[in-house]
Order: sequence, then C-alpha cells, then structure tokens
Amino acid sequence: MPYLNVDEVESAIELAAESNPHLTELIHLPHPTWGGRTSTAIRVHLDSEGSEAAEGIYLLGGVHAREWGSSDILVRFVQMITDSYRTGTGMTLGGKSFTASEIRGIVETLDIVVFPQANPDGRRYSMSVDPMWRKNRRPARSPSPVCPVGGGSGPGVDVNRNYEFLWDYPKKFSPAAPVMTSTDPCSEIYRGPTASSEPETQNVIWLLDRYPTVGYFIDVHSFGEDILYNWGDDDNQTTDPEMNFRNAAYDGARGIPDSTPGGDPKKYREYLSIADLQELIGLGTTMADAIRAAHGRRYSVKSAVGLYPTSGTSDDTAYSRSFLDSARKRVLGYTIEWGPERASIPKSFHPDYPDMVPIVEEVTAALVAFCAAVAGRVAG
Amino acid sequence: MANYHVTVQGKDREAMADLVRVHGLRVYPQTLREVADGERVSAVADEEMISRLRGAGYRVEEHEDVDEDARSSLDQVGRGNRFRAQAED
Repeated sequence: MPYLNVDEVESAIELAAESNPHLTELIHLPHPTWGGRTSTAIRVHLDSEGSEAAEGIYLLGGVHAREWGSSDILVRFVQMITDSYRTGTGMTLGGKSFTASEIRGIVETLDIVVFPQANPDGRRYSMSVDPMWRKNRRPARSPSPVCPVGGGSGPGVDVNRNYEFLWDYPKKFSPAAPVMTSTDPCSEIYRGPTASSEPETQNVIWLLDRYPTVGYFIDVHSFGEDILYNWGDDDNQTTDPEMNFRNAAYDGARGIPDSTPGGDPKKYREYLSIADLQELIGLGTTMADAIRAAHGRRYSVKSAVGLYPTSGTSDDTAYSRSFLDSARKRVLGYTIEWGPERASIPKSFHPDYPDMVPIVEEVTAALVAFCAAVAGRVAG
Repeated sequence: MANYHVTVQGKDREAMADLVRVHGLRVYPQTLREVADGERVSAVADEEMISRLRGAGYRVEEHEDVDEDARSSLDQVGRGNRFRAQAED
C-alpha cells in the first residue's frame, strides 16, 4: 500500500464525512492555494450540527510537502476514531489499545478539528517532480531572483515560517542568533513577503478562529522522533511574565539559548506559566508513552528551542494568540517530528511505505492517547 | 548542480551556529549531536558549499545525492484514487 496522493487525502476525508454524517462536519477552507485548490478539513464530534463541545483539539499535517506520512497519519486517525465509535469497539495500534469507552469519551466530549493536507500544491509537486520539496508553490515574481532547482530548491514559501509569531526575526532576535528562517526567496526556509501572506497559512489560522473551543494544537512533521512543545524562539521561563515576545524592550535579545557557549549575555527567556509548562510536559509524555507502547520507539519530549531557534511557526503562533488577546482561549502547541533519522535523508522524510506503517500506527496511538487524556480531564 | 546529504562536523557550538548564521547551510537541527571532538549535524549542500565549508575548517562527509536518491521514492506514491472508487461502490 503506497502513500496517499493529494486527491486521495481529500477523497478520504470526504468519504469519512459522508460515512459519518452525525459525527462529522466537512469543512472547505476559504483560501484557495496558489494552484487554485480548495483545501478540506473535518471536525469530529457527536451531533456536530449546532452542538458545541467543551474542549477542542486541532490536528494539522501536510504543511511541509516532502513529509508525506503526516497526511496519511491524520487520515488514518480520522478513519480509526470514526470507525471505532460507529461500531462501538475499541482500537488497537500495535501494542497500544483503547477501550470503546475511551473512544466514546473522545467523540462525545471533544471537538477534534483535523486538517490533514495544509499544503496540497507542495505535496503534489513533491510526489511528482521534486521529492525533497518542502515549501508551498507560490510562484516566483519579478524582481525575485531566479532560484536554482532540485533538492528542494526553488521559489515558494516555507509555510511553517510564515506565521505571525516573531515573524520579523531581523528585528526581534539577536543578530547572533542562528534562527532557522530566511528572507531569501530561494531558501528552503523562506518566511514569505509578509507574515501570514500565504493562503495555506491563512487557512490554518482560519480554523483556529472558526473553532474557539480549541485548546490544544498539534502540528505533525518529520523527522527526529521528537515531541516538541512551546516555545521555539528561546529557553522557557516561568517567573517573569514581562519577559515575553510582545515586549519591545527585548527586541534584539531573543534566540540565544542558555546552552550557547558562554551562555546568553542578555538572559532572555520566553515566559509561560508553570501550569502551562506542566501540562505541556504531562500531555507530551502521554503521547511518548503511547508511542512506546505501540511499537517500542522512544520519542523525546522537550521544548522546541535548540541551538537553532525558530520564528513564524504554527505551534508558537497558536499558543501566542491568548497572550495577544486575553479573550481568546489558551492553545497549547506541539510539533511531533515522527520517524527516526535514516542513512538517507530523503528516506528520513518519506520512508518506504512498509517502514511508514508502524509510524502511522504509533503516531495515531499518540494522538488518540492525547485526546483520551484531555477528554478524561473534561469529564472530570 | 547536484545536492548531497552531508554530515558536517565543527569544533564547538559556535562553529555549528555559524553554519546557519554565516554560511546559510540547510541543516537538519534535529540531527545535531555531540561527538568526541566537537559537534556534528546533517545537512544538504552542493559542491560549492562543501568546498566553502572545508575551507572554513569544517570536516564534511558526503553521502547520497539527494535528488537521485529521492527520485526512487516516487514509486511509493499511490496512483489513481482508491477512495473515490470506494465511494462509488
């Protein structure tokens, strides 16, 4: 069984919606891609018409074109959760099982918004022309430079560097910070001409606006066997709420983690509450435990920042929104980097499908475990 | 110009930060590891970049041509539409 192609991802979601009309809402995203494609998402919740859940979880995939398995994972998640609920049975993924009662709790308690293929143009290009392609397919426009092609190079925007959070990195970060983003339109990590300039980015944010119950956001990527949580721009701290991304006094100071030789001269760290940090680690560990139970793989749970900090990412943008507007619900953000590094870099991003099968199972197990844990808390 | 999977080793974290800050190398941050005499990271680079990195004192190991290797993945992609056929059954 091969990877799902672009049309198949969309058809699978439409079929899941048609087969489960009382459990699902099919969502057509409002911003057509550069290639003119209308993207599709699905919300899973019992009696979804008009009823509101107490809590929501938003699962995103297919942002980076070459990470083919992310869309397959989320399609499988939707199929399994709807099938299990409809048939009143539990679910087994490798060595990890969930009871029918747990599945019922998830579907009846939560809004689960699943957007499995955020960058269909890029996926199509990666699956037919350049398998190392990462970005969207924003066309080159004069006076943009002529980019080299092949190996993932060429025009386009890295959607996961195009979000609002600290997008203006030359101003917000230290000049000494090795930030993983770029102003070069040919770069694989080009941030785009303005924050949220891309239709793919706008669609992701539109879903956050449309479903205000969402309190958790998980962006599925490859590779590295990591579960990353907020923040990605600098080390975390829980004691000084004024030291945060909104505070212009710290512009030019961000992005030097304490692990840098000689430490961080300006001692900047990004604020989050101790309660949020504990919840991020706790639920991240729940996912890691489920992955290990499924097929024995050990994923690390850690904050997203490393030697190379990031800006303009989805998970930090999702979390940052309640800091910018207290009327918005707090959304804890994760990025899952599925699969190990392999001898071949292309096969690290998209393993041969037989090697992808256990990864689909283990990450699906992680997502179901995450949902079950949140549903259990809501139910009290 | 061909692009290669490379492993780049530098003497310390400053050197590894310079891969991005100074050289604009396409590193894979999740592969950064400490080794006995420094740190190493996987990346993608063309011949020109590889020469530049070696000239700057990095140890660079070349692995597969990523374009050539990646092309073999295309036969892992589904053809047609299995779900549309299922919906029409």
